[in-house]
Amino acid sequence: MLSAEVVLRIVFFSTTLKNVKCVVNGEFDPMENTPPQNECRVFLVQPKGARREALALAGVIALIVLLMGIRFTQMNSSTSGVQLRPYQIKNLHLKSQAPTLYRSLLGVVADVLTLREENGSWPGIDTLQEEVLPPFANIFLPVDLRGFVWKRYQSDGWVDYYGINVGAAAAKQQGGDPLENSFILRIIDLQSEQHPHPHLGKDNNTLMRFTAQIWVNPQTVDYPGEDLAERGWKWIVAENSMAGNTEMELSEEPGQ
Amino acid sequence: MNKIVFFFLSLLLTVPSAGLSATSGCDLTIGVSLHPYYSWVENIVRGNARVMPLIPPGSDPHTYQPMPADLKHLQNLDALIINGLGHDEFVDPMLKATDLKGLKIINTSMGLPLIPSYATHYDFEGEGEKKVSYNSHTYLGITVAVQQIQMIAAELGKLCPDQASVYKKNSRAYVKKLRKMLAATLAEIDSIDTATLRIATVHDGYAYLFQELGIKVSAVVQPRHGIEPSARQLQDTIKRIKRAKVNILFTELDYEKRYVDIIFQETGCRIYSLSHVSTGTYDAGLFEEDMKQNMAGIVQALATASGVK
Repeated sequence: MLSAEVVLRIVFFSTTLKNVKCVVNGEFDPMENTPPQNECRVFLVQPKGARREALALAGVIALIVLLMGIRFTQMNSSTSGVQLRPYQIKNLHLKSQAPTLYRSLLGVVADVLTLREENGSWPGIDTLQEEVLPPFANIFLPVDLRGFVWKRYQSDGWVDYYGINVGAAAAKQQGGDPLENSFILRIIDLQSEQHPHPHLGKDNNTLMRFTAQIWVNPQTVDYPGEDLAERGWKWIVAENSMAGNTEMELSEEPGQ
Repeated sequence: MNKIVFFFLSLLLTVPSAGLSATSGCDLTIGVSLHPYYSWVENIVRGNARVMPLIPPGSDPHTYQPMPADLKHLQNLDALIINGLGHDEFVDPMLKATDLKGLKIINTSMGLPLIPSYATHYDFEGEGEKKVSYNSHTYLGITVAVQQIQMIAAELGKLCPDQASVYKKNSRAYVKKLRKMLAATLAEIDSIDTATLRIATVHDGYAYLFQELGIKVSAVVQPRHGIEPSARQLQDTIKRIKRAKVNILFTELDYEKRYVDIIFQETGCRIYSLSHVSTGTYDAGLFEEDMKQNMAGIVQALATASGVK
């Protein structure tokens, strides 16, 4: 024997709720297969307050807008590439044939590191020329870039290959193409105790031992020493740099 | 007795595979999206890994539509070398479709100094479009290729530390050969007076190469390639060549001869073809050979136009 009371509640999307309450009277006997007698009453239920619903709805919309904003900001920062520091310039600002020299310097880093590994010390200019490596061996450069003279300045933790456009200096043509006259290729051993900052990669980096950077000065100037940024040199940053790579975070102070 | 036989049989079956893995180190399968990358990677690994092109030879990477079988190829790869600037447009949908988390993507344009495409204004043009996009032909040049080859060698070395020194050694030898080619070309260009020459290209694909050769490109007459020009576009090309007073026009190898003839008749400008290094069979020597021909073609064009030969 089955005895039950069934309550159905129908909810409409309106401020007024229409409830239908059905009460099953009597007992259902499956052997006789006769349905129980139902009695339904319909009554209206007013909500406690429309303001609460409106507030909840506004809250949800505000949350969605906030989440979209956060996501948009994240996407925007990840696609905009590098956030430039005052001492950095984009490689796009290099004029005339300076991009070729910049590319040559980037391309020689792997060879410098291999020679260091083989010889136990930073290779000198003579070695780099004997190895026929551009831009030190200038046969790989267009005529206008062959006036550069290179010198090596080294310490335990880093090396600077400093080049000035002697031809431009002699002819006092510094105004002609102001970004072509002095370059420094700096390679830093991140595991060394003392080395210059800023650089990409963390100090004492276990995943990446060396980091390379190329600095430029519009004038033909003497070798500035360790502090390039303070002496007006600009670090050239490739447009399509390693932004977002945790190994390549900028370290501006020792210990970072 | 059976146990002893089984033991020796097992030994026979396991020893060869152990020996193979000991000699070959890790067994990488490396996918490449473009022809030059195939040549580069083959020269880096030199038989110590498998190199698999993503698309069949003869397919145009700009218009290629990936097939289901191509997606299957992706699943067998350990690393994939891509352009990263959209020259291999077919790669993105393939990667999205498969979502292979273990696949190492080596983006060849990462960290590379790029040339802006549409921010360039030529002397004869006024202020043009300010929109900046980047020239995706980063494989058409020597200096620019050297940096990418070294980066790929380093990244593959990280994937397979056993082979890292081999990859490094191979890449150095390959790079040396390429640099030698560049030096020989520059030496030839030195003997040519290029001051009076005005050079144009049919599209902006050779910007990296011309830049490293110290050659100024006065105009790009058809910024997009792979598209057959309409009568109006051809007329515009002729107009641009005349306005820029171009002596030499470099086209692609597949640029139709009838257009070349029309341009020559209308402008008198000499036309030479350069390879895009993106057709033919995949081969380790393709990049070197095509670039050698390109540079020889450029030298010949400059020499002829300046009256050296």
